[in-house]
Amino acid sequence: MVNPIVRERYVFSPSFLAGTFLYWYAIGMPLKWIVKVFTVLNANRRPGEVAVGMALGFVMALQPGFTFFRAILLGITFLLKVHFPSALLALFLFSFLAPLLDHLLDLAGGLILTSPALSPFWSTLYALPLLPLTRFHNTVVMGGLAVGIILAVPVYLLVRLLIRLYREKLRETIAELPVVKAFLKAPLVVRIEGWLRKIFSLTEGV
Amino acid sequence: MKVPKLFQKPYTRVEWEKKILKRVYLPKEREFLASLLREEPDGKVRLEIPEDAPPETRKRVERLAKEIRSNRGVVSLPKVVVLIVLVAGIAGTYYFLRNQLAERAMVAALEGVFQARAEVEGVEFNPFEGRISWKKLTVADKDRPMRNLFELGPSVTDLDLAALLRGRVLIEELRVEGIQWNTERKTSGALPEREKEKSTESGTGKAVEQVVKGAETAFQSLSAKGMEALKGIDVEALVKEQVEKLETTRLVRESESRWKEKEQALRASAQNLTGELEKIGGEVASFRTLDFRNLTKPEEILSTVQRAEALIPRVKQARDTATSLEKEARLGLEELKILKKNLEDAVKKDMDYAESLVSLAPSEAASLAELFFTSYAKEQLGTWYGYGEKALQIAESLKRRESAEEKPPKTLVRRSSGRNIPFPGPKPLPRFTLRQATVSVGKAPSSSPFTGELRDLSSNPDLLGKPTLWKGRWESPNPGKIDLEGKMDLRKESATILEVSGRVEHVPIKIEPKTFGVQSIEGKLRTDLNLLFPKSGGMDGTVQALLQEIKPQVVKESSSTGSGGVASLAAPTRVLEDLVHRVLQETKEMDATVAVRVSSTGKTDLSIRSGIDKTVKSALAAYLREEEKKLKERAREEVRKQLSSYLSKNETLRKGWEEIEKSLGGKVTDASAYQKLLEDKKKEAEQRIDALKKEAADRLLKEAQKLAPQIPSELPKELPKELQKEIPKELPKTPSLPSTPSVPKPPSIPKPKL
Repeated sequence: MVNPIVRERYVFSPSFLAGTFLYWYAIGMPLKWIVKVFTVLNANRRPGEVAVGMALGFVMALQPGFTFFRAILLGITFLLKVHFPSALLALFLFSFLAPLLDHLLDLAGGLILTSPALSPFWSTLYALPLLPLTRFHNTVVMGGLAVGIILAVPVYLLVRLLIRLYREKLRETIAELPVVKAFLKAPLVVRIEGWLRKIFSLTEGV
Repeated sequence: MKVPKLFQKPYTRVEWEKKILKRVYLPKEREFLASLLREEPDGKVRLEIPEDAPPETRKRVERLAKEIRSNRGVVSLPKVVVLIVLVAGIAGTYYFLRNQLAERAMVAALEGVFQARAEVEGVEFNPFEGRISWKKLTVADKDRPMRNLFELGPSVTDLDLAALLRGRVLIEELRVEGIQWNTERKTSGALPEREKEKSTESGTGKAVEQVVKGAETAFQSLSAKGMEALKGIDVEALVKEQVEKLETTRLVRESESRWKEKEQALRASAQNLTGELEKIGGEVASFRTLDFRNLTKPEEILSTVQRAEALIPRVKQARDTATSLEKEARLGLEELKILKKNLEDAVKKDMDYAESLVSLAPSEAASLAELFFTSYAKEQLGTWYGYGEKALQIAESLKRRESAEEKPPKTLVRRSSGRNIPFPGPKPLPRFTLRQATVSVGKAPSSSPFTGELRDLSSNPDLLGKPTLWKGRWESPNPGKIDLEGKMDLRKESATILEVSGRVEHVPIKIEPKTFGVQSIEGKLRTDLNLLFPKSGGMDGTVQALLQEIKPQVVKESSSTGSGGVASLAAPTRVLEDLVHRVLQETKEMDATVAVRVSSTGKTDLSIRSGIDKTVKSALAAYLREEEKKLKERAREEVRKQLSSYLSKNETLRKGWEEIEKSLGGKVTDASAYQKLLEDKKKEAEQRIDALKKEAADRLLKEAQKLAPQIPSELPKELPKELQKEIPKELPKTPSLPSTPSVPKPPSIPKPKL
């Protein structure tokens, strides 16, 4: 049995509070991104922003861990007019898919890195300062980057097409559905929306 | 109604389509904008909000204008600005705070490696030249938090920038202009988490303790086996005490009872035999004077023969008994001879044993040098062992940090680590490498009291492929001149992880043995050491020490304490003291060879040998030899005295047996003579009978011739042929002499038990 004093100390310890906050933040953030993606779908925003964000998120997700390339892509996502929450949401969702592709990525990376034609190029890169730190010579990193770049185009096109379809064909129909109207006007939903607004406004600066 | 700036100017249809409608992505909004569009006379179009339009319309137009503007371009300029400002800010901050950051990084790295608090002052980092310099650097001793392990003065470090860009710290050269060891600290140097740990004993402490134990044993060895033995020897008491354990005593006691019984049995048998022979002799005497020529009657002769035949078996038996007893006595004598030989051997052995009891040879395990140098050696070797352990701990810590940094990155979902394809590139470097570090204390190198050099210190020696080499040279009035070098090899295949060799000279020392009246010995020490730290742990090595300019301080403190029985042993301690004092005063240099072995469990074996031991030992040995000779003579005498009674008993026994054997030999001769006499007489009687027979036959023939003269004068040898057929082949035998009546058996003589 845990000593109550110890438990109290633990419950009010900064580490516990910080852990709890981060836990709820980690759950809340994807929810926020989903809300923001739905918002942007219904807003007058370029469909390409969301599509590029999703494609970049996909490429980032294929990178194992926080590699140099993921950092670069994150920087690009930040600098370009890209819907950032879409990129983060894609990164989050595709991160669960990526381990299933690891074997493929390893094969692809191995093929690229061991290709005799490219060998001098990789050797030159490897000899340069800082570049070995990018871990480009790792099969999964290189495979993730190559497969990600290749698959980013269809992802982009697909997302863009879907957004257009939604905006031109589905958006009005869905919005006019009585069920949706009733749901959006339900007091609980209105209240949750209010809470979410407050929470997100609180975490905006984090 | 006023419209946003974007919609104020007129657009051609194409421009409207390209600049406005293309950036509106919702069909509903497009329719809304189209509803507000008014065509100008020149064919251009302009957005107008009717005066009666509700305020929502204006707000919607404003929102749309804003959205159209934001939908333009690919790069977000404000974000770029933010990023530039951020990067510039970081770079600027880093540049302005580089010294503090470098200081913190150094402190963190040093504290990680040395596990104790580190302070660096006056750090200057020049990132373009790859140079770090500082004014003062101190690292505390983790085992003694109130002291510094070392303190560096102004120093300059040249970093390899290319390696740094590859994420490797490669120090090409570290120049230190001042170094101090073991300085005091004002604050504790223990790290917060280390302060909780209770570390009362360091490796040095343990080693010292072990060495002290070893030295004490050595001391006891010398005192117990040498002069202490001399003091306590009382030969008489010793021999009395030991005589029961002697081999001679055991042999004599064992044989005494056994031979007594044997002798008694043999004597009884001999006595019986004597009685029987006397009886036989009486009877044989009657035959001796008998002359058969005087006997004319065959009956008389026959009765004599019968008597002789009856006596012969008795005589034979007596002779056999005498022979077997004589054989028995002879065998006994043989055994007694062997026993005598055994006894002689046992006596010899016992003499040796008695001598060994008074052996005074000085022990080989003990050494005077051990007594003199142990206390000093224990401190010095303990310190060296401590330093060695510490250096290895630091190097191991550096190595561990590298392996700890190579952990795979943490990810949200477990990912495959993939394969790292090796490419020919620059040689891989360990995370940390120090190619060369030089330390010189003093302005000019020639006048530097301390110079040191360290090469190839690395966090991954296997990758570097070289061991760490170091050299140190320290000249000062105190402690003297130290010139050391060594090798630290933490590579996988190396068997010895640390080697230290070199010389320490002119070190003024004062040792206080406080034994044999030697209060202190002062002098200057020169040491050549060679220490090895094997991978399995512990330490192994030899130290050659030479104490020069010896100034001994001696006091005569012992008095006559001898308790032995020999007058010359009255004051052995005093003798030894005098001897040691004399040798010390005559000696100008005292050498010592120290062999040390510290096991991985901390057990220390220390042996010190010195030339002075030879001098003292030879003098001591001469003295002891003299004393030992006397004692041995006494011991031999005492043992001889104790054993002489046993030996005389043995001699008596032997003589008794000899006597019996002799007498039994006589008995055999007597019996043989009796037998011969009887047999001769018997033969003589038979011859007499034959003569009488012939005489009777001749007389009968003569009488027959007188009656019939045709009868030949001699009887024919063979029968006539015609008679041969008639006479049967088997003629009845001529009646022989009546057989010898059976004689009663003589009483049997009991056989002695062998």
